[in-house]
Amino acid sequence: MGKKAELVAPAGNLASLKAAAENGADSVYVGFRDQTNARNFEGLNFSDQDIEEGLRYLHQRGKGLYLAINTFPQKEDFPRWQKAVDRAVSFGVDAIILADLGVLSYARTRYPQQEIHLSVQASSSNHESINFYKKHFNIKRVILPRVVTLDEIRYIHQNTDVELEVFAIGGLCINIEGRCFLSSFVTGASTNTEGACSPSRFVEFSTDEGGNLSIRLNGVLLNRLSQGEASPYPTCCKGRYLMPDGTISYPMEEPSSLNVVELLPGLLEAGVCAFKIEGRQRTRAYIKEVTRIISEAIREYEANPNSYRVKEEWLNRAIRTFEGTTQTLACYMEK
Amino acid sequence: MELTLGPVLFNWKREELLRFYKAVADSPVDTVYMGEVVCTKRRSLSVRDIEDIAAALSKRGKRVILSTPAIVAGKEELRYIESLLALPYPVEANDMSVVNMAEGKELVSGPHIEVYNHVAVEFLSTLGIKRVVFPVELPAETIRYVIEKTGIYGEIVAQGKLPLAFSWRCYTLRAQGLKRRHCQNQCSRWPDGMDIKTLDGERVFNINGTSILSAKHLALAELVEEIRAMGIKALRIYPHHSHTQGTIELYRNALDGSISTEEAMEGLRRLYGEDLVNGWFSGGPGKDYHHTSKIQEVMRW
Repeated sequence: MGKKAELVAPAGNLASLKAAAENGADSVYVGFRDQTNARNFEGLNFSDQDIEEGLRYLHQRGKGLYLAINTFPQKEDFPRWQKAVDRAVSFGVDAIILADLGVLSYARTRYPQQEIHLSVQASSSNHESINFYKKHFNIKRVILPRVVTLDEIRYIHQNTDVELEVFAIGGLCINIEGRCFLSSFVTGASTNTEGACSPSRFVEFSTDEGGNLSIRLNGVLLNRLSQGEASPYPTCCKGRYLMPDGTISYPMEEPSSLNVVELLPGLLEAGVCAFKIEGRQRTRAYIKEVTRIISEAIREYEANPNSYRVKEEWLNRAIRTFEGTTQTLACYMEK
Repeated sequence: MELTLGPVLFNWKREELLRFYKAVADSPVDTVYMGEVVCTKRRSLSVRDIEDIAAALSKRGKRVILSTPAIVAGKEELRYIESLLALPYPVEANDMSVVNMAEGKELVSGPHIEVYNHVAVEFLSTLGIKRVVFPVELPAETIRYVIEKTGIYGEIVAQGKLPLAFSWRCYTLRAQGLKRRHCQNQCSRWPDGMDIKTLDGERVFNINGTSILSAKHLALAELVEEIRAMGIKALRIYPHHSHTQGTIELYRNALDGSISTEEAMEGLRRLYGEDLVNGWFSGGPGKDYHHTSKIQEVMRW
């Protein structure tokens, strides 16, 4: 086996960044406090001062900081994304995570030496596409959309020298990320340009006399839950709908979270070099817990690759963080 | 204004597709996009069929452009793209893989490539791409800005159920508790996809194999003057199981001025019902319908 697997953890603030680093993350990814990144939620993300402090903290410990500028600018807003790139580079972040062709071409021309990772929002899910971004923008790494199987990852790795990062744990997009307009269709706020799926200002919870909870997104009913049923963050893809045959179901995806601990060996063998934890919008406690689980699993595997076994305890601890949802391997094994 | 027919997003049977394109040959569209965008497990038409249909359409004066998948994850999709690239027609790229594979070929940037600004279009131009079909969620304001800055030949989707999302998962099979290894072309049983409703009965989404479409139809016929003024050069109509010919004629007549845009909209309402949508055009939710007067207000740039 080659290089050690890298664990990339999210942080929405400095406290989470430190928690991630203390619990085994090798690098942390963050965003500025505006719509230049795809987790533009209220009260979240980093000021310039936070970035400087975060960088100092991580670099002192031999860890890296990645900055996501992974939304798509429009019209006269383009210079704001340019400035975000300028700021990121001037701080000396270890990599910038980009998605837009315009921002990529600006960053590569202006900063030929800067390490660039291709965001999952760029929807690059095969070696031809990845090699396209390599050829034109010299990307060092791609974060693979959650639409590829283990076999497809292996095939990609055989056909590119770009590093492959995959999502290991956390919230699960069931549609290819940059090409999903469900939230935009319902709210008018584009996930790609605004940086948030199901923005909280459109989400409305109401309870009827019977204690049933209705969840709406911009007035569209996404779910109705009886008392005690768990209610994860409401997105269109995890809504409950009425099917043509009259049944009620979750036709796109039930509320579930990704967890690949049992697939770590397979993914590493297929050529994955880094595991990403989803959830810059999640709490410090969540980030601490899931970072610790995945980092334990990676360490365990690297110490004894032949006797690696998933610990019951990892799964149980993960489940507790998932807002009552189940866990899934998504399509890594089968579509 | 060029009138185009988008690729068929549904899984129709071979005979039906042959009949459909035979009628298209006589219809007043200028350009026909064909090829599989949603799922390459669908093979009603072989590449040979596509080649034959394309030749027949070309002979009737139609410009043919071959569309490619919106998700490219494995060998199967890559092979499909390769086989289309080998045909003597321009290709609509819906994934950057196509751009990488298409040396020297005339390419169109399809609606599933994330193009949001003029710098992205300028970059695509350096690769020789001269035509862009804008993503369906883009507001008129953004499109107008990009065209003004770049002079790109722009196409927008004007009519039909809107493609909203693409997945590795087949939603049609999932509705029957099945996985993709059980495929057997189950989605062909739903030639206009499967409308699903919210629990209080609102039609919002439509399940179509591995894609999600809007349940309601987009209709921009009443805005053709505004669209022209924005510098857009081509309007796309997506095919549906019924009324596609009638829809093409309504748009052609509205563009030629032989009927008013109001008459075109009335005609569309007769075909598709009252609940048409256009909200994205003026920057609102795509699921909504905004009256022309409101849109014109927004469009006073």
